[in-house]
Amino acid sequence: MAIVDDRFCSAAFAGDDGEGATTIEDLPADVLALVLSRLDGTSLAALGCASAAFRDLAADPATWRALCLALWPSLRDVPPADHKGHYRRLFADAFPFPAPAPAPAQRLPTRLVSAVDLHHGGACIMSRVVETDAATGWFLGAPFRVDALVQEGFTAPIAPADLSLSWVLIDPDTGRAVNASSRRPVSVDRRWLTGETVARFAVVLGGGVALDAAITCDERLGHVREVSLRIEDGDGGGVSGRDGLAVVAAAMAGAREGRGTEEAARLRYEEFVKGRAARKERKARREGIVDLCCSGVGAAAFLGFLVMLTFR
Amino acid sequence: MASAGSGDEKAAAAAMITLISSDNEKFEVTEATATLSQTIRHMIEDGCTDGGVPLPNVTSKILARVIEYCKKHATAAAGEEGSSSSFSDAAFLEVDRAFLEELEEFDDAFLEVDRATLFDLILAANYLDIKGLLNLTCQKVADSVKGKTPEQIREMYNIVNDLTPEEEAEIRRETQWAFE
Repeated sequence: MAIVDDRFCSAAFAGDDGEGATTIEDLPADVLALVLSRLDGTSLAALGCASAAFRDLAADPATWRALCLALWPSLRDVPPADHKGHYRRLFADAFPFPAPAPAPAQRLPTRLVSAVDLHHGGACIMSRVVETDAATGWFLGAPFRVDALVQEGFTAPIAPADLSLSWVLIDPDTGRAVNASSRRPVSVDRRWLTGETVARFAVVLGGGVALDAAITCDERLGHVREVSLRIEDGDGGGVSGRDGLAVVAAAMAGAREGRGTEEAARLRYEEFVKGRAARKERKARREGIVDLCCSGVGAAAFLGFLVMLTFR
Repeated sequence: MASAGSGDEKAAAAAMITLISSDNEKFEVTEATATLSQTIRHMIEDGCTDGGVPLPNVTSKILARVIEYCKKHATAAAGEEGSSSSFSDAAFLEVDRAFLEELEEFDDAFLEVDRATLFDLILAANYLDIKGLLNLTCQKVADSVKGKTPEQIREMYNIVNDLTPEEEAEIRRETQWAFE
């Protein structure tokens, strides 16, 4: 209380000097902390660039922790790294989308922690942390895949288009992270044969690969069967664990994109799918031509053989 | 029993407290209005309000506004209490919603002040420990910052950029995602 009074007096004196107006810098630190706790991450980061005093205020670990946990409740179960700016950096890493041109990474992570949060219409319906041992030969050799649902799945009345997914991949050794999900679905496909619906949350990166987080659910029964992360290459095939880790590490080290990216992510995915279809078509055409040539050569050889037989 | 209770309440409501601003202006307010401030509530509990409560940190201009806020919110609180006993549930909800809407409109109009006044109100709310007013005014400041760039924030609040170019470049690099 005494501190507050002191500040108040100095503010009053400053007022007497002539300017008269109270400014934001006259507010005591505890009141400014109240203001800061009401900001979203982007505004808090912007305010932190305004001056040295605000930089120090906006670096408050508790505020960033609260922001992170509000967005990603699953992080409660992730042991935090012990340096002070951990949550601030985690937010800066995992809130924006990874830029389409990732930086090459020096080393591959040996462990991957996935903090997965699934929301439906604003309510959190699944929060899970999965730790993957990424150093085993089995993981490195097999196609890259992480499953957030290991048990039977769960039942919740849902509409796939209203889902939003966050998949924060953390390298616990370096503390770096990346969000492998596009938050809102980039595509919702119904498979009539099995009655399943697949909502994709793909993030397209440079080099013709996409982080492909997907939710498989049964819409009629409201049953969520699968929440998984794969990495797809340009031909729609899966990428091996080793190559997948390189992609993830590069995305973690690369730049981030801030605003208006949910829509951009969807458009990029559409491009990606279109590119894939075009490539497939080209490939099919090329194969068709090769086929034609082969059969032409075969037919010519056969004809030649017949001619040889006749005119012998 | 009930009539005795309401009688007591009336007596409490009728008790007047004198608040004295930094420029020696006196304001007579009911105890119900004054006790929205935790600071004054404690003073009343300690029985040291005879002869007025001096508030050397609050000017008469700001104190008048704070009292306006407290009066409105004290009546709203009292009205809610009254309505809960005398109306049926549906009517109570109706009245309750009307009260809340009116209160919200009042709060919006109340916040239509210039920045210096807003900060003075925050300081007064903090000093007098009025939770509702402090939350309301802090939210207003937070809302005004949302979606702005550092330059816009500096300009809006006359903040002098005292970061060295190196420091600023470093923060910019760390928070580059927030601006693009």
